[in-house]
Amino acid sequence: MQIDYFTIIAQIINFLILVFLLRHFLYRPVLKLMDEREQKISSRLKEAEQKKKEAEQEAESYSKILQELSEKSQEMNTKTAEEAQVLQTVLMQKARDSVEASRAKWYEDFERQKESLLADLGQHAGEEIYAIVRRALQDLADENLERQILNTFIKRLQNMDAFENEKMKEFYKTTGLQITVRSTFEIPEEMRQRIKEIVRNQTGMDVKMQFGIVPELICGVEMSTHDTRIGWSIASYLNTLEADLSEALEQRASEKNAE
Amino acid sequence: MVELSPDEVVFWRWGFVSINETIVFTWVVMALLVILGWLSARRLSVEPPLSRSQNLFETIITYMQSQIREIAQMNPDRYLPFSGTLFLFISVANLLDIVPGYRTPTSSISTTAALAICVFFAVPIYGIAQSGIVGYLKHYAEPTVLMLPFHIIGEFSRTLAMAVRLFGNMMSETMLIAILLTIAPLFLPVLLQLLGLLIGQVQAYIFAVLATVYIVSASSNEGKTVKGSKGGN
Repeated sequence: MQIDYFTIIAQIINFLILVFLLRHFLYRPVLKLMDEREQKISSRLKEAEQKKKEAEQEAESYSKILQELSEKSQEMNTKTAEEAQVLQTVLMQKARDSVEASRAKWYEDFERQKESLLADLGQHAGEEIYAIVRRALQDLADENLERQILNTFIKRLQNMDAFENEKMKEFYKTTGLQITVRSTFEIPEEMRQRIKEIVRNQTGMDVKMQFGIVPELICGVEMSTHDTRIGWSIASYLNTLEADLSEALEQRASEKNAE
Repeated sequence: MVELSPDEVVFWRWGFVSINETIVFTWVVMALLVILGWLSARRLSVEPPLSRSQNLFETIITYMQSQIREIAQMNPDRYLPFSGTLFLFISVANLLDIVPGYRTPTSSISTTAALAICVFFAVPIYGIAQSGIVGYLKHYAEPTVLMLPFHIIGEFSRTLAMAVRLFGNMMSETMLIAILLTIAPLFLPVLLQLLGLLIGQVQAYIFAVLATVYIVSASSNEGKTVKGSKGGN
């Protein structure tokens, strides 16, 4: 065993060269690379952490929004139900009003028809009654019907009550107008004079009178001031008949409605 | 006759300069290490998939880093080139022993002495770089000035011990095989070769670890020292 000094020196140099070469070609690049990788991993972990946080925040915000939406939907449902209730009430009311209006209209129509029917009926009945009465009176009495009517009228004038008398006087005094006697037929002159005489006697005044023919009375004689009426006519009977008939019809209608 | 030392096989001589087997095989080992290192470092990638050689070198370097970190308790990158190269050189030089015709340079006292001398100088260089000349010299007088001569003796003796330990182990293996070949030429030398490979790796580890311990103990600020050398196996 010998120590070769040259070999020692050469080996020292060799070793130093090897240290330098390995450091340059192996350690430095590998260490640098490992550091880089470590940094990359740590940055990725940080990024992942950040993303996880963001995702959690997002999830939280979404769940909040979801809750808000559900609350809103519930609110809207309630509101819609309320609105529907209100609308239903309004529509029901409208329907009721409409039915009521149609009913009222129908009732009005019915009333009108009834009235017109009654009027026709009245007219017709009056005419019929007039014809019947006229014929009956003609058949029964020798005197003609008109004379009988006039007699009745005169009787009525003669039996005028105090109130009617007073009214007539007052009318004549205040207005100074003529008192009108209307009839459905021509009153003979003698009868006119008689009527004038009776009225003058009754009132105690020189009353002026005029005579006219009014076919609406159907059959009869009538003397009137503006608010008092004395006379006899089929029309007045017919008016009473019409009122009675109308009343009877109304009563029947209300009975039907009640059913 | 088998030469005990590869130093004795001289290929070329010119006065003081002689190119012997030790130097040539050292060059072979160096070339192998540098080329492999360069080839793998040339195709490094940060992202997987990693090449096999990159994986291999990364594993080795990470392992060496963890070993140095355990010893030094500080960032290992500072000591890695020196200690790592010691380990890689000795390890590969001993591993190639299985190649017929090859003789490990570590079985030459010149090589082990050269490596020990490198460690001997590396200790003060690292120490001064770490804590300055005064800081470094101070640790020779710790805990008392009386310890100064022992510290100095320790420096030399441990260097010598390192050189002789590695040389003795590697050379004895060659000797053992040579002797056994004459006694029992079958089977036993193969087993001993295997044992030799194991011993070679253990020695590489011991040499590198001891070198690191010496360097670190001289560089550390705590003034902790590792005295003397551990005994050989």
